[in-house]
Amino acid sequence: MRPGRYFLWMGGTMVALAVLAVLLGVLVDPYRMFGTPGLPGWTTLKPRIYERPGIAKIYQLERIAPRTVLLGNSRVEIGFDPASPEWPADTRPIFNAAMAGQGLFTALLMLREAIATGKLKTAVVGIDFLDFLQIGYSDNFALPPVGAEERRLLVGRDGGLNPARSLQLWRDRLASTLTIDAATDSVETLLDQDPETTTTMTPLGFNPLHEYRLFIARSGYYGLFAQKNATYVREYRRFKPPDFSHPLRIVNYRYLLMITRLAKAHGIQLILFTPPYHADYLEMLNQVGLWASFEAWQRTLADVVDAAKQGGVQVTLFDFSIYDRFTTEPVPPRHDLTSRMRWYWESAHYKSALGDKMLKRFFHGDKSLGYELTKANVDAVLARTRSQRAQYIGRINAEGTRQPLAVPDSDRVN
Amino acid sequence: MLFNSHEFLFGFLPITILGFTLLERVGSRGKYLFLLLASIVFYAWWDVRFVPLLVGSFTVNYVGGHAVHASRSRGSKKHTWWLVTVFVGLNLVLLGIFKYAHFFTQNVDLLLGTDFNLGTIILPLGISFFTFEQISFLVDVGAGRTRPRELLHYALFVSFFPRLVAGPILRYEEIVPQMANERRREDTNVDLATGLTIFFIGLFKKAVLADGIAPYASPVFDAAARGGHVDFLLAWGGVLAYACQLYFDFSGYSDMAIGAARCFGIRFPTNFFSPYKSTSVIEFWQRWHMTLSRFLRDYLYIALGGNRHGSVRRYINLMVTMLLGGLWHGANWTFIAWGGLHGLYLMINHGWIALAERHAALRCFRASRIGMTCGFMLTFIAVVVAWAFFRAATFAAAFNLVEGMAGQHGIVIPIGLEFALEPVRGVLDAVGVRFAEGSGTILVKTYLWIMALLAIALCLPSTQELMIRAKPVIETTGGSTGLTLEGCRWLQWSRSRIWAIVMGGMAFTGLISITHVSEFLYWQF
Repeated sequence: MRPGRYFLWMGGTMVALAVLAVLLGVLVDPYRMFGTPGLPGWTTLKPRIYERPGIAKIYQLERIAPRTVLLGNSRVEIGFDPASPEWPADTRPIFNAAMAGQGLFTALLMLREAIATGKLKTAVVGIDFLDFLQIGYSDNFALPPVGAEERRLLVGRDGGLNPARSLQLWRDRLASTLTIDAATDSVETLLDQDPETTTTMTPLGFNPLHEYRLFIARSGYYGLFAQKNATYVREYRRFKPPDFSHPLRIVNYRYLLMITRLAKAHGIQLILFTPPYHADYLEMLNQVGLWASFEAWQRTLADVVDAAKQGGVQVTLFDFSIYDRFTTEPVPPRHDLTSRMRWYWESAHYKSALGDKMLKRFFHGDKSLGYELTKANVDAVLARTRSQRAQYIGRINAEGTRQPLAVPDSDRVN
Repeated sequence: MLFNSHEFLFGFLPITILGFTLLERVGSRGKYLFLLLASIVFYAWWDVRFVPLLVGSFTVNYVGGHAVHASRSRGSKKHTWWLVTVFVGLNLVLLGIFKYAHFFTQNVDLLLGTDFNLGTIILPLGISFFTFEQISFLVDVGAGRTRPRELLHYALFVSFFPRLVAGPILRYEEIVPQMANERRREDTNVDLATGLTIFFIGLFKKAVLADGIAPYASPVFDAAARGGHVDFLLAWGGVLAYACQLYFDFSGYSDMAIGAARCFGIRFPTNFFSPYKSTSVIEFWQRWHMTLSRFLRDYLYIALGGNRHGSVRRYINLMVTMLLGGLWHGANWTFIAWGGLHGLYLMINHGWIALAERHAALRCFRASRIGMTCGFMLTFIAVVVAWAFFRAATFAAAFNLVEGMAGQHGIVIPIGLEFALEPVRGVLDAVGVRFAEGSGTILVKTYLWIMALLAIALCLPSTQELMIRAKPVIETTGGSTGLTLEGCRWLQWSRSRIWAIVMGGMAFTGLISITHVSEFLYWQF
């Protein structure tokens, strides 16, 4: 074959493959870049969506244009299903914009994006102790440099149209079609559509955590709690107790303040809450010597929120980090692979069933779970939590119930 | 500018090929000047401050080559070698300053308790490669094996962009005469088709295979460096993954260099010839980084006396050559240890051959299929163990890994695999396997990648064998190493429709695999 024809065939193959890759990426839409409707059994579940969560969350948020947005980290992403019937009709549509591993700065960005879509009325924000352990102090506060997530947003920091968005949009379109990752993720999406175990994110941004089902079937809840607890103990031992005496030196309090100001400026109702950690997790905080810091954090949080309220922000703070019948749900014993936990996946992640209960607290005044936390009642709430803890410890000691946290590493599931 | 960057693939390379080809079509002699300027732009893209170094280096050495040649023409042997020594010394001083000054002062500080501070010294791109090439030029001129020709051709020989980053280490006499040849238009098209095919095979190796397995190697070496005990499966997984990464990275780079050069009608020597198929360490060095082996043999080992002064001196020369070869790869004791390990391997290999020559039974065993298989396995394991020292940042990390590979840190399996391993649970318990947290996905993927890549490395022909019909490399290559380049009987490329489609697929996959800048491992040497 003459070289010219060889090039023609070679080039033609490349063009044909490029067209195929674009079609595959758009039709399968593994990251929900294009909002292509899912084909049941083929593309509804998105097992590779967490490879590019920023793309999935931001562009999907724009398509939904929610009245209510959920913000926070994985606990919120896993814990609240926007499709739940517990959401009042006037809060819909709801979008879960929480992102695993992200803190309050990302929450601030997502709030900005949700406001830019034009219909937002309410923001439900999970405030996590972990955020205040990981990120330090600053006397010269400055926002971090603009990253890919922020370049995607409709509006810039000055409130005007974001000039970086169109280039980022094209980058994301390319990344979702003409890359080897997009191609393999599309194929994997087509091949992995098991409604029981496939990792996915619903179109409303909720992570149903299907993948844990497989692990639980193999190792039971005990195995999952044991493994995660060990990880948390190791991780949290590294943290030094933070100093909450000057909250505004703490970067995350700055972000929280910016969230409240943004909400006030746009007439958004803010619902803030501390997560309902499982008692194992709370015990872990005790074990690594962070309980006093945890209480100090809650006090400061109540102070900051009260100040915001007095400044005209429509904000309520709920505390679910307590010992109650939900958070002390017993973990099935070792080797029990059949019992199911109702409220928890593992000690730091609650199920959406518990999220539904929290919605009743937020919107229907059901006081069977958690407390509204204010500067006035914070000490009383904390004292009650300490007392609940003493009762809990007394009960499990009397019953001889061993939680996975108490199991030494060498005796873990194997 | 890296070969696997968008600016190179969609900007620099097409523009340079187009410019060169147009100048060639109009019969302009300026085509090599254009190529030289393009090569300097390529170099400046990395750091414009070092362009004077490159230009100064080839100018001084060109002048040096002429001085040596003039002296030799006058018949003054002593003066000739004095000149060669001076100019070679200048090259080595330059290399020493940029590459080894920090290493030297660090060790002096350690020994004498001093505190020399040389500040930051940036290693100029490709200095290890163009220094060796110019040393070989000076020595060859001194020995009468070549003579200096046009400055333009010499400058291009030193700065030619396809080999500027990481070799191959060329010889003046094998490249410059090719520049005197005028190509016919048909040859230009054939060269382009062949060159781009080889280039895209290399891109596929680098972007898809080497970069694909890289994430499974680095975390293990990082964990070893942090001091965490790396268990048997993890250690072997990490080091084997690195062995595959390095293989496809360097093999891919060599293909891209050979392919890019061919687009301009220049053939390079073979640099990489399926080294993991070797049945001895001697053979490994005839197949791995062949142009470096050739340089070390011809300009160091033989210069030290080679095997001309008895077997003891031969072994000493061998060890010195390999230690310096290790040091050439990087200013770190781990590289010297790697070179020393290979020196030791080579000594054992030569000793074994000498022993086998004296005993008929051993000779038969060595030539038998079983002997070859044992040789292959032993060579592969020895080479892989040595890579632990090559890649590890410190001796502590390297020994940590080697201990793990020897099973001294036990065998740990992620708990996520427990379910799948239930049928063999008794055996695992009996050999002391422990289960620990983790899903096992990464471990499984690591070994799947390793199996796939080793299958390619061991079962498929090399690019040069695949492309044999297109005469991809300088034809004499291989003769001096004892290896001959033969085409694969069952898989040979030709300019056919099916190969165009296959190569189009590989090129496309390579191009869409470039999602981030990923340096070639040999870039740092």
